[in-house]
Amino acid sequence: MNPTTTFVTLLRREFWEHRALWAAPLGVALLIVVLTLLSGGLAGSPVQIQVNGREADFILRMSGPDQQKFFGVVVAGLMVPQLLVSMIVLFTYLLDSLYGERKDRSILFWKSLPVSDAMTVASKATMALLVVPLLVYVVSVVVSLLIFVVLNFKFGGTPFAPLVAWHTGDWLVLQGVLLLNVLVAALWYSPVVAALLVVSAAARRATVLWAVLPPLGLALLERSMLGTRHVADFLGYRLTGFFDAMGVGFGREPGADVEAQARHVAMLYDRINAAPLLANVDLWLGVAAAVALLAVAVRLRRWRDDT
Amino acid sequence: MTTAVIAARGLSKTYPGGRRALDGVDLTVEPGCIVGLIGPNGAGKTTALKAILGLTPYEGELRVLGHDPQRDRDALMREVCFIADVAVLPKWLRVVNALDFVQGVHPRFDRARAEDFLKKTDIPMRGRVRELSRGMVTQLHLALILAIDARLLVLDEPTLGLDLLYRRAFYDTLLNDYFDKDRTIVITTHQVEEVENLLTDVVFINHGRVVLDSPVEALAERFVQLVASPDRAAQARALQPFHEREVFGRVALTFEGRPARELAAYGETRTPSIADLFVAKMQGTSA
Repeated sequence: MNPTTTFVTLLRREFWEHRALWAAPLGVALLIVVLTLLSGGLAGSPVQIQVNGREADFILRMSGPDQQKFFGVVVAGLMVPQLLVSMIVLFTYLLDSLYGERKDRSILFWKSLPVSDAMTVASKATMALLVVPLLVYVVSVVVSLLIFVVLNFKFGGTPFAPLVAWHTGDWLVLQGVLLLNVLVAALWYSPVVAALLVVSAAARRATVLWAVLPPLGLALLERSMLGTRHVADFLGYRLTGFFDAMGVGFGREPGADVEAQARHVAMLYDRINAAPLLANVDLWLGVAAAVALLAVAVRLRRWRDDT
Repeated sequence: MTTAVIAARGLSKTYPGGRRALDGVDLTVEPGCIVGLIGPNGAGKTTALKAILGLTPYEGELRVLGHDPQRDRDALMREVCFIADVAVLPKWLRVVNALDFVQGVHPRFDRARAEDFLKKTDIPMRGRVRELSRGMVTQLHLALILAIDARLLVLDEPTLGLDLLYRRAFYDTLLNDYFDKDRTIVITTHQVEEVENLLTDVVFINHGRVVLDSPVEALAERFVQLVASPDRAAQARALQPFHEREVFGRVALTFEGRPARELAAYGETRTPSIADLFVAKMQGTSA
């Protein structure tokens, strides 16, 4: 059997077993579209945009390019709920992927077929790092198009019309950047995914505890014994470093002034490109660690015998 | 280079903790045989199969279809198939997806053949494994495996937990629709009566050692069971039977390597069934 056919079959298999992998991002996308349809009243009714409860007319005072940037970031932001839900789904998925088959002994069925352990483990990592993120991306592209249509229908003929105007070039650039970000994120998060696969292949039970407690315990131990927080910083860096690098990190919002926030959002447009992260040696160290961890997971699946 | 399907020499396996599951097993399985690997629970049957299938590390020499199962497992699995036991098909799997999957990964899978087999059953194509009865799951597994053109099929307690009808159907299908002279089947079971008529060879295993390895045809020459009348029993015992039991007030003695003619003087002689031999051998060796 040619390896591509086998690999594609393995990926399909993951969708059969874990329906949430596709159902969750699609569900969230549907919710976003429905909420957009319901929000802001019906077409033709007086329109208001509010930010933190304050009327956001100031957006209209921004320059044309700034307005487009602002809206571009909002559209990109539509991906965030799907991403968050997918992350939770993927966390559960990865921990189950090499554990569930041992628990229900179905590993003996999978191993009765000519599929190597390396390919099996690779298929699970690929699902988490590429297939599901790309699915989220494609869905969010569709959602952003739908949102454009809906908002133009709603805001047509109002002062907000220029804000939601369609600019093909800008749209393509933004989607290109987001696609690139998906790929950079795959590299950045590869060691996290690989570590979860190792836990999944190694744990006898309670995979979630094995995934969470040792790093957390180590961080707490260090804090209480040495008073330092290198472990916690390291873990934080590996988990949020991707977003920090783009200046959309957590807890870095400027003051409560909504106008400043709006400007900040518009400014983000120029920064949400994660490509510079490719020049960061930490990213590649992480990839190297991921390869090593995946090799451990393959070995564990190959030789572990607890059926 | 040997043409044997399985060639094991000094095959041993010690589990962490010191339990010795296999203790120097020598075993040769030729093509076109149906070998019954028979032994009590914990005798080492499953461990032997796991070694043959490259699922567990072992010591000693082992070649399966010319491959080293520890190193060439991926190549080996293109020519070998196994059913570990009936419970291992994942519950969430749909019947149609099971066919899709095997078709997608196995170059020797004949989907039409599997579908033909499934049509003769009540298994719904859209059903999930969790919705099927235990017998149906076994039928499904059998449909998948029998549609794979493998040179060696390994079955580990394949009919465990099935009722008689399914068990009988399972072995009938195996024999009529699958087996031919180019194929080899190794079956472990402790339900000896079930398989005794289809085996070409028997291997008894106990405490990790082979206690009998013989073609079924040769058993009649090698073993004789004598049902002696009580007055002759003492004389017959002098001929050193390796097993004795009392049946309805008479004594059944099992001999190895004594001609039936010699024993006929002491009572009725017959060829012991494989089940009888199994009991005799197990009690003989563990005593």
